[in-house]
Amino acid sequence: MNILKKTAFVCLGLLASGSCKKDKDFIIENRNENQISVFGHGGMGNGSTYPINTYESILKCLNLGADGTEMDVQLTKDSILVAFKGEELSKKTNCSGKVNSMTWDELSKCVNNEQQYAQYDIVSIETLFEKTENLHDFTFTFDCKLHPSNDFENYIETFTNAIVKLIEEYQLQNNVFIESQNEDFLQSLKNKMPNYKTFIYPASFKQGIEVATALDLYGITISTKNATEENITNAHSLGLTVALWNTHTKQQNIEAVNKNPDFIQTNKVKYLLKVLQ
Amino acid sequence: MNLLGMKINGLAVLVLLFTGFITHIKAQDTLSSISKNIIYTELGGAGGYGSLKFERLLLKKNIAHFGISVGISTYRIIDFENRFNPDIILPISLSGYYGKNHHFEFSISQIFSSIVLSGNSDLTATRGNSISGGLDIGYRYQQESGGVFFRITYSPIFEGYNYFRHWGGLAAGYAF
Repeated sequence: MNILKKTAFVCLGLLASGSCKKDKDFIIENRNENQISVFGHGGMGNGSTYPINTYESILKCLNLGADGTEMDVQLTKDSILVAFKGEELSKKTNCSGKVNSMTWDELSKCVNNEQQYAQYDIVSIETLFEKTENLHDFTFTFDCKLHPSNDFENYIETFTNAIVKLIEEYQLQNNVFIESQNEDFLQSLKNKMPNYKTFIYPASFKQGIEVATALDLYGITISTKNATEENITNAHSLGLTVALWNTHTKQQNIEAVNKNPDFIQTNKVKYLLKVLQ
Repeated sequence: MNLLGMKINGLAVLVLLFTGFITHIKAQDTLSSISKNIIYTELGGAGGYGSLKFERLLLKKNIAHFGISVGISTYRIIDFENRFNPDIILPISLSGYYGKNHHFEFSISQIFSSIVLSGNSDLTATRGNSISGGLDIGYRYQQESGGVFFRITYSPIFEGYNYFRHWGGLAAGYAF
């Protein structure tokens, strides 16, 4: 009987401490229904055994229960949107040149060979959308990387057209966030689709507020190192949402949560999901 | 020469060398007083990011040593569909090392890998199997009486015998 009592006492104690740990400290007040959405960074983030921006990394992130994922999006020569980070293909693949200098047919023959013995296909965003079950349960952030191989104005026009075509085709107006460091790009997209959820990706929070307000954007995407809780409260009061990134460690994730952002693009998907459960 | 032919040739070389060693061992017995086994972990090397390895000394002639090692490694146990579906990497190596306590080492490896990736058309988990080759060239510290083992190597990998990757390895373990 004594053993039973002791066991029950220990179990209750553990349960109590566990539940206290989950609930303590986080009082979330933001523009995202007082919840912080968990997005992966390129899928499972830097530091995962999956290279970022691969089908495997992105699908793993979604299958773990994340709200969505950020992806580095580039445009091929024939206007196909693909997930790839970096200006030069040769650093991560068996091909060379820019994404924008190749057609999808050419690019789809390249493989990401960052990891020994594994060859990861280049991600076509359309294929990802086509094959993802319950697509509308997720949010995808397009971090648009502008690496044109020719005329920049024409490139922006083609890039924004490709985004609009894809979003309209899959009816993802509320499920895709579009972020860029380039104001002309965001302006071009706003001119075409004023209701799309667009984010400036600024160097400083001050610049982010100025640009987002001037262009009437949906929000700001910024490194957690460049954002304070006060900055974010200020952005919220101006009607802007805030996405934080650059959260590599557990501590950085907790610090980011405590700043009350609306979204976190994390490199520790599992951990952040557990913390915010 | 086609890819399959190269892989078969690689395997054939390994088998022939192994057979040669075994034949040689039968004719010699100079191993009775020295430690013949090593268990060690390797960061990098033929196992990819790292591996657990066991090595057995097969032959010793003066200060020249020859051994065979098998290792096991993985990237992930759970696949991207959250199912138990481990990646498997199995390096098998033949090593020659020359010296008393401080050795120069040269090894050749065959690496069998089975990695779970997304299928091309439906993006579901599909196992991709391949055979690769590897080399280790470097320094080994190991006393004949056993004890601490240490090794640092330049370890290039010929992935699928169609892609060359510069790589390295750092190993530590125990000889007994």
